[in-house]
Amino acid sequence: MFKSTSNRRNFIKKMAKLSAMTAAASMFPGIIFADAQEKGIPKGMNLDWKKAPCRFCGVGCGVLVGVEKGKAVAVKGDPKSSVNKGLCCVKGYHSVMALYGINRLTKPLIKKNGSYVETSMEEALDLIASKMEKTIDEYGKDAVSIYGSGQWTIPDGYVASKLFKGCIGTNNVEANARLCMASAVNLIWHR
Amino acid sequence: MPIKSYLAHPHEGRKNELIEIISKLPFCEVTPAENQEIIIIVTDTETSVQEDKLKLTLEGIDSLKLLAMVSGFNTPKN
Repeated sequence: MFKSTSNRRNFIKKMAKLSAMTAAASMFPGIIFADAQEKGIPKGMNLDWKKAPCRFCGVGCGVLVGVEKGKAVAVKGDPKSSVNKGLCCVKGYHSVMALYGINRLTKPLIKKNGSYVETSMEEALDLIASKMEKTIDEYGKDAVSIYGSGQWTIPDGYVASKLFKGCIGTNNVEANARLCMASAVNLIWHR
Repeated sequence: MPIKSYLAHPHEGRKNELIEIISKLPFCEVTPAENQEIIIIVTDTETSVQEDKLKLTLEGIDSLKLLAMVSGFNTPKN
């Protein structure tokens, strides 16, 4: 049977606090009351809460990841993050599940004789390099491009830009912002 | 049995001092903002007389610049 963990008086106190938080937010947009939310973080579960950015899109929400015995087992929005102020979307709340998905690729695959075969990273990179070299020789520098990810970090993007713009000599660098995120923004505008 | 919430604005540079003083007062719950010079106070007193006395105590704190009530409830039940 459901048993309430609060009583009427505590509920009214929370309403009173919420009213004050709402009033404060109207006066100071972006105000953070992290202390109130941090009290809600479960304690005594032997979880080590680590700060991290959410990797599921380019917004950059702050998350707290609960780690137990070296494994990420819980996610909570970081109340001290000015981006999301302790909230997450459904993708953020489920983000650690992606780390342990059974379909996650953990080794490179190369298509050989019509089927994908596990291979070493060295062989996979050599294959990509040889294909790119051949394409550039045949069609020029702008015949190659890189398609990144909304989950790549700023250092990832920096290295990709250096490699493609500085080293290879093409501006064909897409960080996923135009092809993926722009379409989502467009959809929101036209709703 | 009044329950009230307030926004408390401290004098410049005296936020921590204000938090410390109010935290020690009975019937008061303090929630400071992380990134602004403002504090939320929720008071939970037994009677209106007690509430009035507490409000006078709050208003007498040296480091408090402004106390603004946001909401007030008077509930006889738990």
